[in-house]
Amino acid sequence: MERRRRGRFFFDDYSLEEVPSVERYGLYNLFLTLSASFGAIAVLFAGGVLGGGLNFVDSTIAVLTGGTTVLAIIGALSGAIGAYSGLSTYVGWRFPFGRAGGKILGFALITLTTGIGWFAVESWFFGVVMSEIYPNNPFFSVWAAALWGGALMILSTYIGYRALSFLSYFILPQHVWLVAVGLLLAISLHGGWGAVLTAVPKSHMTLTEAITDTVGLYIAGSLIAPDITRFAKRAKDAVIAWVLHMYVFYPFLILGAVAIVLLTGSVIITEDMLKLGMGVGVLLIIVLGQWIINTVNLYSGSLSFTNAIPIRRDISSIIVGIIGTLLAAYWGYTAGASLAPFESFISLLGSLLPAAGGSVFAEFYIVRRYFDGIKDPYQRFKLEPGKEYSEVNLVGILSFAAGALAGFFVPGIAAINAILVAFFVHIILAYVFKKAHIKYEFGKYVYRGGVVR
Amino acid sequence: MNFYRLSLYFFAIQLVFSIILLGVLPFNSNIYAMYHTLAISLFMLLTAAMGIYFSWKGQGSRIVADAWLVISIVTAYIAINVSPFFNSPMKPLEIALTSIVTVIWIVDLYLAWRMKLPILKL
Repeated sequence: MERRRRGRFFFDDYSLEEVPSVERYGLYNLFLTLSASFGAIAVLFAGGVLGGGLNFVDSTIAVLTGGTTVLAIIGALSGAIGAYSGLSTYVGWRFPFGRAGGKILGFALITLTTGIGWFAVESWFFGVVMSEIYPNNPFFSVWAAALWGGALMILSTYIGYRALSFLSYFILPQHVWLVAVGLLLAISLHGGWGAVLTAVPKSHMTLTEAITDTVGLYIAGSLIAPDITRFAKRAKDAVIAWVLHMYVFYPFLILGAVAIVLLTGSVIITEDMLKLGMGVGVLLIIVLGQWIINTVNLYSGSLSFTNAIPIRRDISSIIVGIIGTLLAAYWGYTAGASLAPFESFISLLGSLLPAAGGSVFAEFYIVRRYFDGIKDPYQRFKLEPGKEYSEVNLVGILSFAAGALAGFFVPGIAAINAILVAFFVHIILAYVFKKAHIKYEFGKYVYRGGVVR
Repeated sequence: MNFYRLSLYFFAIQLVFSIILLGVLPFNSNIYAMYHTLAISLFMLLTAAMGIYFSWKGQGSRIVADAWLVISIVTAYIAINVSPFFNSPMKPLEIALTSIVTVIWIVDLYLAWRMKLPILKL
């Protein structure tokens, strides 16, 4: 019995149920795994955008007071929910949106965007970089490298959180060291920190725009933090790990990239490192960086896919991964195909995610706590086998819609507007419906304990 | 042999190597190579000191975490140090010492795994 149970769960990673306490990890593991999930290369490129419009001091203010602090708060709130409930982000969404609502939103906002879309884009990009480093080698042509790179990433995602842990232990410190040395060298050779502080950006950007960029870069990662933090032994570990990684790695990498751009006008740190003759280091940065970020992309994609269509998570990682890899290989084969329309589409879907986060926060921290009187946070998002739950939660759907509209139309930081509007609309609607004794949860299903075949 | 005792010896070897690397710093011909070697020496010194404490106290999971960290950072150091940019007369010695450190910690992790210590669940 134990063996069967172990076989069933070994690669499934408790995709539709609470992670048991014996399978949870400590602070160090959480810290490394969360740090690995933000993908240093993406942060470096985002720093490039900041450095193009702000000087170093303003960039530091934007990153530390704006981006990092906002993301630290949102990720801590979100991560704590994952640790308390032990559920993946999308299974947790069954409470604010109902099961059907959670399935549809999870599939649209994560499977399509992160799981297939960004996975394909990153795999394609991996192929492009490989073909640039090793031109005229068929094994490293764009489509071939995208295929074998995608397969490598699918393999680690198939194994699940254990593979993510391994990648984090081995790759993350190495990755940070490589990037740090590259950044420091490039800065030293271009005039040093004195030159960084006096450098003037080529164009202009307001502080609000800069904060919007830094928040927008990682807001999705902050809101789907429960995919990782559900493995935390204690909610305190999840919160500390989140806040720590936000204040240690994120500002360092993004401000390092700002410095490079201010000095050289080129954010492509890997090019600078190649010029320094650090070929192996650059190769490791690209290969390992892409590997980590795409494993995390596909991991979240497979969890949301399993939530929508109940098959084992390891199987869904193969399905979603193959679709993404084939897309990447196709783009690589039909050289010249523009990704811009596709990237716009998945960016548009991704921009709806903060609204969902606002509804989840309202449901967990306010509605369940104060309106339903559930003081114990471990019980607020608790799925119990044999118990009935709703298919659709109208309050969640309406508040999500309101938040999404606010994100598009209200001026300011779009992601924050969407979260705040969804949060308050959710609370107000839940309060009004409850006071007026109007039913807002429809349809019933009996939770079977997360058994998938 | 006892895993904790063996880890203690490994950390002692790493400590000696880090002191040797600190000793050869003045022989570096390139200031960037010198800073890079200084950084890895201090890192190895610190993790060796931590590891000796963990081994002394019999804290298996912390030894494993320390071993992962050392392997990860030292291999990054080796990857960068093979670059012609970091040219230095001491380079062969530095790469040899750090390669040995990498190998001993891979062996240590293997022994920990054989002893059924959780090497992937920290």
